[in-house]
Amino acid sequence: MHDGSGRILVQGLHKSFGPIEAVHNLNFSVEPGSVTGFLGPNGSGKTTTLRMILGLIRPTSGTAYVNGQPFSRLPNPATVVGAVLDSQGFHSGQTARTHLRCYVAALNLPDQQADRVLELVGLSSAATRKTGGFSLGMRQRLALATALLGDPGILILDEPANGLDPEGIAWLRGFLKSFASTGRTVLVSSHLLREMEHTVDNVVIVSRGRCVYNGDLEQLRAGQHSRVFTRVSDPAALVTLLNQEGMTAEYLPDGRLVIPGTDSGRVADLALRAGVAVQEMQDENLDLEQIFFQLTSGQYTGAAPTGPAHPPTADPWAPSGHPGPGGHPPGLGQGYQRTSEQYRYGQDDNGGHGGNV
Amino acid sequence: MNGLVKAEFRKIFTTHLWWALLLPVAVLSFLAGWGGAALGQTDFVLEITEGQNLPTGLLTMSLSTNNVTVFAVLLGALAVTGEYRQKTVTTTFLTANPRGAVLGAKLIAYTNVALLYGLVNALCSSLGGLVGLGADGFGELPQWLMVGGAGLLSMVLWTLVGIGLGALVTNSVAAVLIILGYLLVFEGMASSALTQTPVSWLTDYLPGEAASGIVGNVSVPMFISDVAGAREPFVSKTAFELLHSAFGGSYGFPWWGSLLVFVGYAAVFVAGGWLATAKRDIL
Repeated sequence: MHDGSGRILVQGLHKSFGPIEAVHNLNFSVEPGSVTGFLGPNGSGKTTTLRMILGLIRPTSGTAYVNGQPFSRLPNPATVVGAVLDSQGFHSGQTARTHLRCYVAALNLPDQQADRVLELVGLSSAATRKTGGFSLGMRQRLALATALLGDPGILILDEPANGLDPEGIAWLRGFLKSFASTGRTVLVSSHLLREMEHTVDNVVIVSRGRCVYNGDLEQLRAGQHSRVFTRVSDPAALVTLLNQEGMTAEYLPDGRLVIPGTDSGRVADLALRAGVAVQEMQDENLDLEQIFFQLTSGQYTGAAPTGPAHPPTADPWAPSGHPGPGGHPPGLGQGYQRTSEQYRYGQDDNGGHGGNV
Repeated sequence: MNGLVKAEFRKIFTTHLWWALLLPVAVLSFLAGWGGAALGQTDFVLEITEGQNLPTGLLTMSLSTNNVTVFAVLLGALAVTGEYRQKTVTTTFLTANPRGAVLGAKLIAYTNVALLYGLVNALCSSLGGLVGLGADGFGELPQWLMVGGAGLLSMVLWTLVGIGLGALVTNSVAAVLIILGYLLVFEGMASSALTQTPVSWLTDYLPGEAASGIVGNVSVPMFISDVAGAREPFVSKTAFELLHSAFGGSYGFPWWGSLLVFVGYAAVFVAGGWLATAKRDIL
């Protein structure tokens, strides 16, 4: 029996399709009472991971647990977890109601449950229409209705906003938030962080089958929101003071310093204390989309630093090391290292731990 | 499990496949019954038999059964591959654990539909016989029931073979091509290739032969026994073989032997489909 915790736990998940490594050593957990975004570019292994959680794809190694059990050991699984995977799973000759009633029967539920979920997703008026004539948005709603049939405590959605109009997306956001606010679990994937920004509380970001961030969205935003480019008369003096203040800096090839996690006012104060003249100062704010892009491609850098400042105490873009929930998910710092490492050593199998190369 | 079987019945009767394939069964069975009966009434046959009333209805029911079972195997195969084609299989597997339970529910539900197919076949071919021959052409009621019952068995087993095959290949087009290619082309070629060899007895064990033997090995000996009466021991082997070649089965092979062989095939296909379903990645 499952433990009813509403938790999804992914441990060391790994999936290869022949020579293609779709998912590589993925670890994360999804907690109840919140909406967790599962983000990554197309082809980063999101769908494969969700389908492994749902027992549809067999992992090469590792296990995914739903309520403390692998999916295959959940009795009457649709009452535990509902899933919207694609908007295609309908027989075109069936009506919305007859489609739902097939699964109502499979779940041993009363027939009225079909009409109840149709009402929940706003499809009551289309109950007797054949699904073959449904628009993509209606199909998404019907898929959601199907997922809700068993009144599950966990909802997993794969790119649910695809095909929804802005009104539909707003409705979906509200729905997911209210679903989670009742203490239930939502895991929703997307390739657009912006689309999810106002919906999700936590994010799991994957790139090329690897997890690059797992944690609070606000933390990601806070730890990343700005950095300062500056040119001063005596960079070494400023760096010494910055290090004393617990901050880091890096030299850029053009002689400027880049100081992450601060703003120009604070740097100006420190420059004054260090007695160096400020010749140039520039704030840069990253929005979430840029952070996301940086995390998932490893290609976003203002100007690639060639040599570390002395001493390179930490990755300049690492936040204070926020451990995500559940086990040992990588913090952002590790994630960033891993991505750049992956960029250089694409085939390196050790990348999962950001270890020695 | 009851819920899953109910779900399968709802899937069947809210879509078109079941009647789209039942329609040709009804029509072909009727035509086979009618045409077969008319054949028994031709002057040539009447001359040979000296006007004796022949229970050709028993033979024509055999003929129609062995011709329409192809729709039963298509029904079974498409029942499974349709779920993959329409991608409903994802939801189906999300609502049932383990996956084998879904296959089990399909086997139960489609066994019932196959019985319906078998009944329609028996009734339509008999109706055709009545139209062409009148009520005298069917032998005794127990004989009619036996041939009809063998037809039901054949129909059910073919459906199960189809479900197993569908679960193995999952692709509708591939499944249809395999079924038609095998039954219409391959088995005929294999049989004729085997007849000249010392292992010609193998033909009785090919799936199509075994299946048609379930009915043919009931109806042909019954027919000959009826016609020949006391002269039965003197009926030549050639007469048997001629009838068997048209109505299924083979000389001296017991009907339950054919049944056992074909049950074996059904078991192999279902087991194969079961294993493949349990391991398959649903992408």
